[in-house]
Amino acid sequence: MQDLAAGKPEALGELYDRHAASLFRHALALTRRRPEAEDLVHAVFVKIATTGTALLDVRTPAHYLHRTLHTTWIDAQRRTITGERVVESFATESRVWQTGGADAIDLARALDDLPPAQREVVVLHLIEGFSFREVGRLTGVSLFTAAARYRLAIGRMKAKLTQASGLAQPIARTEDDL
Amino acid sequence: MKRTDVEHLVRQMAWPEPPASLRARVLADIPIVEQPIAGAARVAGSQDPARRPQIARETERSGHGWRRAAVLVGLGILFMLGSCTGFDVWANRQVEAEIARIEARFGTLDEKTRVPAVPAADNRARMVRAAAALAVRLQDRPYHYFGTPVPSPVPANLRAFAEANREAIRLAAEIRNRHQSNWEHKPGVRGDLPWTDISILGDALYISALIEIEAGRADEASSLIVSDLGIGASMRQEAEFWPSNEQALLATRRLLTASAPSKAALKEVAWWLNENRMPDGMRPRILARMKQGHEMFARLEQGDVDRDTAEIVYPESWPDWPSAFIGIAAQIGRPFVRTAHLRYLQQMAQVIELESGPRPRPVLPEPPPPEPWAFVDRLTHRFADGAWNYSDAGDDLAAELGAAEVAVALRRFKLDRKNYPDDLSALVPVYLTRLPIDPYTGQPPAYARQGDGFTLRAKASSPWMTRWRALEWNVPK
Repeated sequence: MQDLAAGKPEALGELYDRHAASLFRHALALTRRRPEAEDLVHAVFVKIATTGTALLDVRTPAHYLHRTLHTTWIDAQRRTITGERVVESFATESRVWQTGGADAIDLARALDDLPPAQREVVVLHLIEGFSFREVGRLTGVSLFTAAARYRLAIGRMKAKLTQASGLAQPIARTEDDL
Repeated sequence: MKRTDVEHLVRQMAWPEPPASLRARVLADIPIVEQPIAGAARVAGSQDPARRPQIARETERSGHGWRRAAVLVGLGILFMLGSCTGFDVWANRQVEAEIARIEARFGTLDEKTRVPAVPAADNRARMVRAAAALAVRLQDRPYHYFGTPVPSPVPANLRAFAEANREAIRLAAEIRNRHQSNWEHKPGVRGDLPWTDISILGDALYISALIEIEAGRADEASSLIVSDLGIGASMRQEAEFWPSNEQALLATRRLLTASAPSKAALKEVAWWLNENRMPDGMRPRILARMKQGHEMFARLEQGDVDRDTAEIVYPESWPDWPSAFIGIAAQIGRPFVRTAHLRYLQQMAQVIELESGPRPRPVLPEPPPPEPWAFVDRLTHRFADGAWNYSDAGDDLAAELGAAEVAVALRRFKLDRKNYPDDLSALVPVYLTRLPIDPYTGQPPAYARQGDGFTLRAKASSPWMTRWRALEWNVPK
């Protein structure tokens, strides 16, 4: 980060190579579409490249980048008139997560059906390995809210998958019911 | 399906990597202009906070909220500990400074006031102990008590009481043959002094003297009065208690008003009255009490609480907590104990200054009882309570004793010269080495001739004391 703050070009490439994959998955969790995820990651790097000396204050680059991505996505959401910009298409070819086997479609659908906030927590915690405390910091909520979102997300996915397999299972409450 | 199965499936999902074009797009679209930053190697957080973007501040704030709270709590605890330690050190220095001031003025507080050892064969106190051991209390009352002054004629039950104590009275007569005294009292040892027996012995001598006066045997009565005065004289050297000679002085008053003792008997009474005078008044007694309180406070500061200290600090019977809690509480609140210690020493020094001053002394109001929530003042009050009465008690004794000395000297003057003098100065130096001073007026007792007799008036700390103490003398002849 200090090198980037000092304006060294190779610093941005190094930072991209180290964190781009994680940021991309995070972006996919929020946007569910590759082009928008790419735009989001691009916007994050533009933002940090123009931050300047304030980067000297950053202690954990990964946290800072994911936090930046989250707020950038929120800004983009606010700028849209229709709110969550979702193409209600669940065609297999449009899915960003690649799964294998017959159950993979159900899993992708279950993940897709989650609210963005819950999906974000699932990705950050399960895929990226952040703790709930870190997820809370990255997404601007408390530890308990992050944990509750995760619990609800997994519960809903479990219910969806159980339904898809023909077993009756009540759907978990939404976060709004809490 | 379990939750862990769902988690496992999600982990197994193949997530896409960002396309290679994205890297090229990022690096190509973002112009990086190298510009050296002064202090780039400095530690994070050293930059001007105003230049930080909001997002960075939010990240830092949200990430360190709990840590910051913990640091604040820790700093608060450290501040409290530091404050308590500073308060403790300050209070200790104040106590030490006060002790140094008191010791420079009144002598060391570490050593206990000790009475010089005396030969056993010449020790009045031992004879008083022996006689008191034979004393028998009133048999017809549940408690040994009778009001003073005793009416004349002496009631039958009191006569029986005097008769029952004949052996004790006979032994008490030996007190007159002893010239020194040391009660060999062990401070802090309960039951070391037979106060009840000594009190009963004094009562028996008083009643017996009244009976002898009624019987017209004035010299025998004066002999009993002398024995009673001997008990008081045995205590005058002791710093931890003072003579209790009210009854002997009442008997002396009745001896002069209702009988005609001989010159020799009166001379002996006069000598023993003088022997009852305390060498330095109440000052050694107040000092002894201050030393005792100082020692208790010093031990209390270390959490060492004995039974006496526990009873002073926590005299309440409910809730009945174990005494050990006083020591623990004293150690936790040591700065407050030391503050109470300081105030105690200051109050006692004020009492001693007052006692050492000229008579009549100024009347200082006793400190009012502290408020319930003023713990330091309450602790001080527990130790210093009653100290303000010491000077009053000593002055009452001195006034009463002075009046008795003057009265006896007047009677001796009359026996020699057939009349009472017009002025008390005539008694000096033959009958008195110097005129006793009434502490409340700074003058000798008020004397006036009245017919063939005289009246003598001394004051006391309270007007009602004249009802049962020998402060007013109306001698008819």
